[in-house]
Amino acid sequence: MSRWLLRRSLQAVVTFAIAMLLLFVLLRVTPGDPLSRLTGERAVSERELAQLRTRFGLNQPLGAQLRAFLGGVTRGDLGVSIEHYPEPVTRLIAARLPATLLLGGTVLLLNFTLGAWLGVRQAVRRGSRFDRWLTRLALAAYATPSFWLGLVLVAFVSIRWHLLPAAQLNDPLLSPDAGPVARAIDMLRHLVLPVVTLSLTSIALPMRHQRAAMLASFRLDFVTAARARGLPERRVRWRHAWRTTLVPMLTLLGLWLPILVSGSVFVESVFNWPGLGSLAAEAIAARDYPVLLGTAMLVSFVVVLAGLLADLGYALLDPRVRPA
Amino acid sequence: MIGSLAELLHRAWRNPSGRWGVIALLGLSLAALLAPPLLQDPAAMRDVVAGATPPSLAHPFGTDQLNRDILARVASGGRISLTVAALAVLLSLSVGSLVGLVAGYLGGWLDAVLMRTVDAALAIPRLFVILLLLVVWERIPLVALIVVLGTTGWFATSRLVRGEVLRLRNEAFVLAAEGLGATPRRTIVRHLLPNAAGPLLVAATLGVGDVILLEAGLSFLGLGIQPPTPSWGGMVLDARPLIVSAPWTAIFPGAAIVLTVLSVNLIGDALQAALDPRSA
Repeated sequence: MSRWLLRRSLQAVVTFAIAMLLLFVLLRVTPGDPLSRLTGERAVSERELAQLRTRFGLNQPLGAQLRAFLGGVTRGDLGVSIEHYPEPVTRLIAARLPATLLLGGTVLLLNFTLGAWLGVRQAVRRGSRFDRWLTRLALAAYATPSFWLGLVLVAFVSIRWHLLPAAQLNDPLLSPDAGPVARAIDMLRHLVLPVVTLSLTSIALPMRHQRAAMLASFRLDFVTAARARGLPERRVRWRHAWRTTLVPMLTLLGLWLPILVSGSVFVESVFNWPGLGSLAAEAIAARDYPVLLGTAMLVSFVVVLAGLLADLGYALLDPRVRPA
Repeated sequence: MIGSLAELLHRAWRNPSGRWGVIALLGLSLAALLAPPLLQDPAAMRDVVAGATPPSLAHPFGTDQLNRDILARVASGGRISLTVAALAVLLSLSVGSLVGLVAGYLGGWLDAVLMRTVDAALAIPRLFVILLLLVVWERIPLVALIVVLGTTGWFATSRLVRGEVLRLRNEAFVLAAEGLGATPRRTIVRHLLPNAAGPLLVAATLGVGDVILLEAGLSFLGLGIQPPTPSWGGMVLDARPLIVSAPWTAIFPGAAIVLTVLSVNLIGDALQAALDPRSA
């Protein structure tokens, strides 16, 4: 087990290193010196530009640049922001992380419980009208651009009908002596629309995946055997069939994370949600390359880590994958 | 082998979802192709003072903040969106197939290097790769957009093709062809590729939907199709400040995205079901 663990962790490190290498190549193939393009419209003196060049190591040979780049990544140094110079990118990201974890975590939880449950129901009632229409609805939700759905929800639910707040994490006008309960309720109310938008537009994948996995596990011999022994259908469904689908669902989690992050770029910028997604959107508007790059690095790291953790969970759930 | 592809298409057509998808997509494409010449010039501003006017007989979808006809803009935006998506998917399909065939057929260290790279590339969200590539441009040329969308979408395809090649490599008909002296090229083109056509078709169809959504999102962020060329995402961006006073400016372009992507994905879903009936 420990050797397997070591090998798998090493593999994750290699994958991440290659991803970083790819990002470096990406940085270099884009036309022109990124700094001169990025600072073109700003009042930056030649001296400051030269300083920035040294700071980003742009006046060094390619090999040294690569070393500096990878060295920075391993030290957790993602460079400094151009827009908020000289604020380090890591600090900007750290400030935005909690809001994204709250939004993303809620959506993740919702889609992998409610979405998965719906997928199981679909598999159980395969081919029924319920199954067919739920598939179509999921496909329609998947086809909906999150930025558009968010804008429409804000226009009607928030502005026209005054039902829920349209933006931000909490109400700036909330009285400062409001109790923790009032604060929590206020935050929950702010959470509803972004969560609904992000969840609806990304629920199709876990739902479809769970349905397919469930159908596959219904065909397994031991499920048939459990039925033949006369076990109650509910018990067969959850204790036998559903448990085997945990492994493919874990794998999906790693694949689904990039989708969640990409979606939050749009949803967070529509709802002014102070998270990583809106940080990326602001970085685009300000052409703040280091911030965008830093966010991409962090997300890649999380994706690789999630893949590793999924495989670990996999090994714990299914002893067959881990060689003794 | 061509027979099995025809069989696949036939089965997908017999699926109501697939049929609806095809009909809707044909209708939308025809509208996008034929409508622009019949409608007002989408760039024409007539009465800027009048601004955004609600849907009427003269303008069934209303007009936008510059008093331009939204129906005309949705139609010509659709033509561009569909063209961009089709070309980008064609590009990523070609690159993905090539890499997958090479990796699967030749194997060895080349396969290892290629697949490790694909693993790593899949860890970086596609949206961020595209943003990093596009954000440095002052004005993004349409060709650059297509190339960027196409070259960032082939990773999963290459894995798929590689898997198919590995599955088919030791099949009797491939071994027979090789035994009879078929060159690697002939084996690949005549035997491996046609047998991977089904899964590739599914991947391509779903890829088109993804690219349309992605392009709309990029245009919404100002990094996609550049104004004044109309695009669905760009129209939603323009409508953002008007969303309460003139909701039709946002609703119609958004609905066009939903309908188009939905019909593409219905086709993809029907193809998938035809390919693997047990999971349907």
